[in-house]
Amino acid sequence: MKMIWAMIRPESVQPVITELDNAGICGMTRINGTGPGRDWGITPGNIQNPEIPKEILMIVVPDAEVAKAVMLIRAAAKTGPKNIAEEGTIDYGNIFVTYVEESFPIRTPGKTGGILKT
Amino acid sequence: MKQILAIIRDEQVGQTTTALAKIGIRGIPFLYVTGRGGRQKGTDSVWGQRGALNRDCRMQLKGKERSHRPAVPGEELPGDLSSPEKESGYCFLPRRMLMIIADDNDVEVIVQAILGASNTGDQGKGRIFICPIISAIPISSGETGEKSLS
Repeated sequence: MKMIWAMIRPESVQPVITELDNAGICGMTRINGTGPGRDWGITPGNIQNPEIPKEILMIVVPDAEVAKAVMLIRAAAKTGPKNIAEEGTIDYGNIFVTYVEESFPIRTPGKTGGILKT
Repeated sequence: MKQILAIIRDEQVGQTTTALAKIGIRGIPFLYVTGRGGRQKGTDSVWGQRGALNRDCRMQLKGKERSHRPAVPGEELPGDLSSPEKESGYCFLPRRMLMIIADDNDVEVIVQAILGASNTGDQGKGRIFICPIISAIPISSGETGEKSLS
């Protein structure tokens, strides 16, 4: 299993969720966050604002679906307003993929076995 | 070292904190998140009909019954009608996510404590993920390895 952390722009969240829904990837967690990104925020005039709102989607998928999920997120997260990003000031976000060793629901933990001996 | 990510319900936070304190785990970050499980796609549940429940709607859920029974016509449902996401139809429910970095040998004890405190048998109790962690460095001392966890 792999965990996908997709840090995307808030306006890209709905297209991403729609794409993942259509592909059958439904379970996910959504976290609000802020971050400056590579350009260290935006600088309107003399004021620098490094806290740009972001949304983090945390999705755990089987190994076989990682490539598909990342591809769908990349394609959908680019459908936001492009004029800002094309100027090179604000990027679309980042995707990180990490390992997950175990995953089980709290209600029925015994189904997947794993480290739980009971 | 392992990272334990547990997504639990709001009302179970107190019990979980108490259970973890009994086995010596203190100082855990609880993040405010929203999420949904694999079975909650679209408008299947009563929550989906109300649309996405984002972070701002969380306070309105206090004291309301949460269940996945079908909606009764004319029943007042919790949620924010003025939410800009109400038409999306995505069923994101407020949850809390706790993160614990623990030694390999302690993982099972911690997981059992979380399960014992959070599992009451209802659907939608949350999920636990266990991920490998390469290193942990406290900001104050800067030491690495197993000593950094204590």
